[in-house]
Amino acid sequence: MKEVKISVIGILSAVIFVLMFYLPTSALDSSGTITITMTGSKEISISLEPTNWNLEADGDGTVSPNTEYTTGAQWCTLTVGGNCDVKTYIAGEDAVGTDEPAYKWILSTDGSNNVGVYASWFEVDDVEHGDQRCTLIPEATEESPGENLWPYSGGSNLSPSDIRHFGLKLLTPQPDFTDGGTGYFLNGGVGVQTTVTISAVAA
Amino acid sequence: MLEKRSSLICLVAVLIAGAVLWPSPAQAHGFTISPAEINIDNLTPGQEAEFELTIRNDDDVTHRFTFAAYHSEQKDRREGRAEFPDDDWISFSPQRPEIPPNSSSTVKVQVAIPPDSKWANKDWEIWLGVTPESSSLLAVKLYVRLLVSTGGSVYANPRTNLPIWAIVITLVILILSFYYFRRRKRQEKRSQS
Repeated sequence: MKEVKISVIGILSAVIFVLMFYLPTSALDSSGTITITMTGSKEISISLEPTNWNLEADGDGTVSPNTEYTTGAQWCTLTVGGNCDVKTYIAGEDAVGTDEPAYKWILSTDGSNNVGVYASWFEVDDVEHGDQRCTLIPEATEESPGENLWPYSGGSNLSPSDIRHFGLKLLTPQPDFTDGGTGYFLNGGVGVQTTVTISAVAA
Repeated sequence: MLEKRSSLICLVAVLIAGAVLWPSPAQAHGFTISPAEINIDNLTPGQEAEFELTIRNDDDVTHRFTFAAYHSEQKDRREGRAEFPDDDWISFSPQRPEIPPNSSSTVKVQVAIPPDSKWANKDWEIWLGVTPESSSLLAVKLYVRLLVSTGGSVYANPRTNLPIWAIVITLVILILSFYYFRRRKRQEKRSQS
């Protein structure tokens, strides 16, 4: 009888030991109320037009080494939709060969080009808002959505139905090789592809 | 008169054929996300919060959208908000929804904070980025601000988070009780014989 008591006490103490952890945490479960607030019915939206740039330098969309191309500062129209003010950013990335991903043009960080290094800028010429800029487009990182597109220094955030214009400028890399005084890219005749990302967040 | 009519028919036919064969220039590339900002208060470490984002494809073609969490710079965050520690604590379902033109869809977002007291009483901010998969030169990405504030206590689910050492001690108590019981039984048998 005594042995049975001892084993019962042992089992009970094990159960109590487990409950010591269970009970306080169960109490916490009923105490906290999570509040999720969706700030009004705020919607965020921007649209761009156009979204593609057909380089017409040689009439067929090809580009030459070490050459500047520009769309003009009024090329792209950015329209703010939604119903909240926004901050906008612009960022670029490396250009990659469409048929050969190993072939890359690295995005310049200082505006200079080199073999396999290209640079791009965004241009703004907005007399109405006193905004004239030609700013190097940085690469997007995990920590940064890029360079401020609007507001610029001293400018204000964009509001719903605001319309702004901007353009792009491209400086192609220096030639991969030269033959008879003419520079060429290694992937001549094959395309490279890149994306310039315009992002927005509620101001 | 008959000649004029047939020329007109030819002209209309050419215009219709032109409209079909040469589509209109690319339309504005746009979509909308709501809400633009979400505030979660008093989320106890160890618990989960869930909410929905609505995305509307304002474009004329179907797009597949990608959702991901992004850490923002201090200068871009709301005042008093620190960087969210780990974007693995946020999940999207579905993460890459396909949305037809001029249609809407919802994505469930789950935020789960690990049960650790070091995550109590914190104010964080992280951005939820949405972008359509596209081969265009210009791409649009929209961010939703997610503000998370944690409560002061810690919720630990006992079924999944019971410490290993507590399990070991419980097992040791049970084994010792069993051993003691067997030993007493043997002693009792010996004394009887």
